[in-house]
Amino acid sequence: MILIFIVGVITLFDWFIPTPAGSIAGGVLRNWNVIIVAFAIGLGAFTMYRTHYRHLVRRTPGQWPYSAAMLVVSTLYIVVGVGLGAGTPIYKWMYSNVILPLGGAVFASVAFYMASAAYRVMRVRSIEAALLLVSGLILLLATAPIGSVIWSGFLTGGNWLMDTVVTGTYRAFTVGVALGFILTGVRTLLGLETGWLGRRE
Amino acid sequence: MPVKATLINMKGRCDCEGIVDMIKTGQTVPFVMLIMFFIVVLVIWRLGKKGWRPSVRTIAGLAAMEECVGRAAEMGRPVLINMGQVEYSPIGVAAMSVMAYTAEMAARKGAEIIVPISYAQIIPTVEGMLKSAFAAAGSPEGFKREEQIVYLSPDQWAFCTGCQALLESRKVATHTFIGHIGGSSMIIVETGARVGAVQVGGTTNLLQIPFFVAACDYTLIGEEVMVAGSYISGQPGALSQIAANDAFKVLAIVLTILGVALASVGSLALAKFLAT
Repeated sequence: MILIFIVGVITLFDWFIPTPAGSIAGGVLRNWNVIIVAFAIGLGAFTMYRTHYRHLVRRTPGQWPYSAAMLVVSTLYIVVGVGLGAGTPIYKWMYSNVILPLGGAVFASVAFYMASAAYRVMRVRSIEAALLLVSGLILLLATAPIGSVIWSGFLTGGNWLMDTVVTGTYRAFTVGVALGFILTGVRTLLGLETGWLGRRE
Repeated sequence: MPVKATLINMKGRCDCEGIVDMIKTGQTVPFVMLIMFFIVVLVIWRLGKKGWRPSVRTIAGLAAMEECVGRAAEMGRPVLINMGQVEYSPIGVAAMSVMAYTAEMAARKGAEIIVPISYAQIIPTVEGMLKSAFAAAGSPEGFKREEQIVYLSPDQWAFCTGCQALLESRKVATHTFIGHIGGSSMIIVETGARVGAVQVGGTTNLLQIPFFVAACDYTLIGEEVMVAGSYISGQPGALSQIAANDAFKVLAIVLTILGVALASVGSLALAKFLAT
């Protein structure tokens, strides 16, 4: 707790009252943070390898083929990245032709999950659900080009909803969240927030 | 704020080159406000320790947590305690507090626990928290690191598909998803809804809130996530944080109204003062 307080105060001090000594101390702490994170990534990689190796050795039903693929691909990326370098054409090719398209494919499926969830939630069973449905439809037609073709009022209504209701609500939530962030940080620095250490206050 | 000061740098030499600004330009009011935060939090915590207990409205999602975990225990299916992609940040601290509480509850009821991890640096903390949770529940032998802590990936979409795999393959009965997540939240919570899991969700990423509301049975919105740890602990000292949060929210509302009123009559005095 004392360590958390000291590190936190040095970092805050460096931000608000910049001094040569504070800048040096803050810079050292930030470098230490980067080093610790790097070691943690290594820990994560080791954990992942150990877990999937055990699945492979035990031939866990329904899991071991994926674990085998995971181990092969991870090893390939590590060998190419460390051996040849992350800036080499082959590594860049592997990243841009495998990881990016896979991420894009998963991202593309969001729309279908969204449609499924919208169908389930936008049923007019209450006033709130009706408001959600009506505002959702207005914004959908305001965004889609066909909406302005059907009636120009959709665009006006959609813009009004976004500029007043949505923006105002979003800002109110942002203030609340920001206050929560600051207070959690203050409580952690003071050692009052112990839930994340597994201790009750 | 120009103040004449004597500064000793790390080599022991005196930096006495004239007048220096102690506080960075534009950060004076934030600095004073931060000091006020520290003082108010300590004062209210002290009041809480003396027995003052603020009345807190019921947060449905957190109040239903025990019922949801009990459901998983009765069905013999696991509880997926998902913190999303958190690391050591305020939201991470809040999410880990809720995780510790949920894990202890699940351990007491004999429900299986799975905790997916995105960033490896929190693994040691999560491991310690789960050990403590099982110890507090009276079953330290119940902690099984390999089966309960699942490191997925820091990549958002890889983490998302990993969570999907866990939800579907392990037939999760209860999914608590309180933490930070990006655009993949819709996929994860919709998959949870599809497998029939009871879902308690919450995030401070306000753009994802609508997806949580659409797919989760209970949703914590914005600051409810930040005070969740204090709320579920039920300890007077912890509950006092909620009062401190509300006190500064009242201050923010007063300043907003004052600022709007002054700006309406053409005065930006408050805005300029807050920017000093």
